[in-house]
Amino acid sequence: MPYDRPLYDFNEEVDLKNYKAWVLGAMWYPPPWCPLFVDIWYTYGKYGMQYGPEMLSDPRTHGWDWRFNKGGFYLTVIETTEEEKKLREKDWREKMRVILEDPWAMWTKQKAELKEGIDKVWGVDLKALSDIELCDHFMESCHFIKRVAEIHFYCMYALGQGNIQFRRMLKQLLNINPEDVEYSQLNSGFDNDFMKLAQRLSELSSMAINSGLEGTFKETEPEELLSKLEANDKGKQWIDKFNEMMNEFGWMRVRFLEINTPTWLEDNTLPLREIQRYIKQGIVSASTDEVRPQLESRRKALEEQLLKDVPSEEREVFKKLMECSQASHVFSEDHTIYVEGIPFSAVRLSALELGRRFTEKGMIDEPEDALFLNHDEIFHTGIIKQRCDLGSLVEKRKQEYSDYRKLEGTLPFFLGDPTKISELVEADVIFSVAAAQPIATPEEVGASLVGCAGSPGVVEGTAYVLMSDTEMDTIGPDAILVAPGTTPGWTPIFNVIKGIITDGGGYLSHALIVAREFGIPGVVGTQEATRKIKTGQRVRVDGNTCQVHILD
Amino acid sequence: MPQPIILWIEEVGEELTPLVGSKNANLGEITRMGLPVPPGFAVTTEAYDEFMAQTGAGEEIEQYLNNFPERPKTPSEYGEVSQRIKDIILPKDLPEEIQDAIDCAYDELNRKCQMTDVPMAVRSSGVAEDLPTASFAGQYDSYLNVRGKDALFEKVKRCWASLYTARSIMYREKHNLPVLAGSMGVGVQRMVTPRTAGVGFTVHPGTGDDTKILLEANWGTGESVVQGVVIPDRYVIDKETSTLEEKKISCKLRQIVIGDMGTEEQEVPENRQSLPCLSDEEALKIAEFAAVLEKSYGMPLDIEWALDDTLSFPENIFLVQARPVTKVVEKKDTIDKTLDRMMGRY
Repeated sequence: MPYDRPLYDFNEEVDLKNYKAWVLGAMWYPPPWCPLFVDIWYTYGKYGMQYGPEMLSDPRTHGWDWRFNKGGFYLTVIETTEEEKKLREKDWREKMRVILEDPWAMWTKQKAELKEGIDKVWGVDLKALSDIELCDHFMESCHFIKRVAEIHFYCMYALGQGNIQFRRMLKQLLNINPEDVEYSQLNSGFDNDFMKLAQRLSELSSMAINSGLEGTFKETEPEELLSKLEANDKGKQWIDKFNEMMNEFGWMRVRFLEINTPTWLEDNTLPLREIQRYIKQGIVSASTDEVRPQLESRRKALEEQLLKDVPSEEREVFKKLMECSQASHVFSEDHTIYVEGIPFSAVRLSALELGRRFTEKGMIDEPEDALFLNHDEIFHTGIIKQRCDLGSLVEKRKQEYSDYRKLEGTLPFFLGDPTKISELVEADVIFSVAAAQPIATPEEVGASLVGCAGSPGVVEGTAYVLMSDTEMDTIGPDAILVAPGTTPGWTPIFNVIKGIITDGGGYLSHALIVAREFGIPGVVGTQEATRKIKTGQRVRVDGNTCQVHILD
Repeated sequence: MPQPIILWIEEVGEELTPLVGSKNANLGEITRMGLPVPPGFAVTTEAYDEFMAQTGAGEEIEQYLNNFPERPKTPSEYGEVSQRIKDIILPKDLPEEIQDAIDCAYDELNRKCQMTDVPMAVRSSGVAEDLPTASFAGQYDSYLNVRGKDALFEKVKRCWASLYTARSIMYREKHNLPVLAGSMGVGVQRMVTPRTAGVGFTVHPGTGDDTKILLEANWGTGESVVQGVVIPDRYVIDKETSTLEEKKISCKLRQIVIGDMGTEEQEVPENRQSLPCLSDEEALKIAEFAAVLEKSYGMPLDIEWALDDTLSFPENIFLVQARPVTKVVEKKDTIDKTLDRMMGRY
């Protein structure tokens, strides 16, 4: 039973009867989620997944259901009945009409609301708060996740539909696949806040080299780097610039959709290591600022040309869907910060500050132990001035967590009838994010692996199989990243890899969006890349055909 | 006063629909508007009625249908009825005065065309008075490239018999009309030897947009476009500005051409597959004709046209059919269409 929450657990008898099939959330697993995140997600986050389609009266889906199973989690679609489809469509059309009038307006408005909420919970001096104020802050941060999730999935269901229909239309009318370079070009060259991160890092790398600090960076351990740089003016200037970046991106965590990895604020060696890697590999300027106008004018020229090729009666719909698709890509990148990023970092820091106070009272061994509690347990303990027994509870949960870790790599990709997955995707097109299936079997095309979507281009390199984002440091030159999936936490690594292969994911998955933006080939949704490929093997990634070839 | 057996296209119009059928009446209307129609004549319903009366075919058909236990209900029953009625009609000779009248008209057509063996298009022209709302396009038979008197006599009878094709019986059955049909006119025109032919719509059939004219065209006869044998070339012309807004040349692999007898489907020679089968001036001229027609009819139309291979622009353009569009797509806005797409429709 997952962390004393019986209803979250996969119940074979009931859950296979009530649903057609379940698919492993391979983008976010392994490793298993920590208890606090499971609790936050199930209490506040997952609800948004129903809120989105329900508030839109989506005719075909009530959203997704999630179950915990042996440390992994599985997803499925709560389909609507034929009768519901008819009843909901009129409503849905009216609501979608308002959104489609101006697809950009919705996210702009929602982003403003999120920023307002973030201002209340982020950047607070937690140490200065009294116990009761801190408990208030903690609960407010948790509640904020509820609104964050509502906005997240409302936007996703409103805009994601357009993106998927646009891909279908491109294929149908112009024979352009999402793997083709045109598709990437159509969605690139927009301002999005998250892409600035890679730019900031490369600027810091350039500045270090131009200031003659390259040697210091190459020779010094990240823990000592800042104190060494303090020694001279150039170093001090660099630190000022570094702090500027940390003001903007200090909320970064290694892992997204999880809160058990440190933020950059807690551990500044994380960004420093990243910058060192940039310097070692000579990445001095991704300079998105320079590239962006080029991408933009290239995109506009392509838009114009494609519109000419589209039959006149389809042109307006094509244009509308294209706009929707572009807005959905920007939403997808932006939401990394305002949805998955800062709000969850706020919960983490608040929980850890409470954990620090529990540790001072000797109730737990270290602040991180708080991550093995549910949010109501943390709150309860906080408001009664810590007069209860947490030790045995934490110990039990830690045992459970380590049991789950042992099962990593053994969980099946599907539960129930996998042939039904396509019906679920048909009902809920957004589900393809989690459940896209390979376009052919490897045997059919003579490849080692076949994925379900790709980022254009072909490249060969050395495989680095990383089961989790905490292993990013081990990556070397000439790297093809092989991972279960990637979340925004992996983004900095896209500047240093030549290609990417993932087990999970679909057209809209983070790995692909970022790979396209960085212009590197990628194949996602291969299901078993991390099992079939070994670190050190030569591999070829063919993003045009979604194929992977192991060359050794 | 007995009704005439033959009337020339230029003598007829809408008011004579019951006598010549709607297709012939339409062609007459087009001629009255000063638009080009291939020369030809109508074999009137009088001919049909006289044939049915004098040969006894009418009585045989009526008896056969009366003896049919119930109304035909299944495809195989429709087929059976259709075949039986054909067997009644086809073996009977035309009464002398009808045959003479058609014979005379045939000679006259040859004279008009300055030919001796004019190739003809022989088309059924239903009176359709029993089917006021239905689009009856394609229900009855047509024969292209008919040559010689004997063939003409036979095809006229075949057109009559096509009042009882399985699909027209089924159609009447579905609309709860008597299986025993009224009468039928036949149109006989000089066969245009088409270099290119196709269809035109004065309201976009997909979107309901009534500001544009859409043309679809292929090499050879228009059958390949109507039957969907190829993806045709498409031209969109703005009605107000008379400009060509869109020209989409597709790779046209197949065509239907006039063979020795009738038509045959064949491959388009490779060097012509990707060439435009209409010049811009031809497309604009056809659209101009379509606009004149629509204005005069006062309702959206679909038309069929053909470009004669032996003549040059603009004399090569002929209108071969015009009919009101019975089902106009409701005009939807972009967002509605976008939502339809999201729902997996259209």
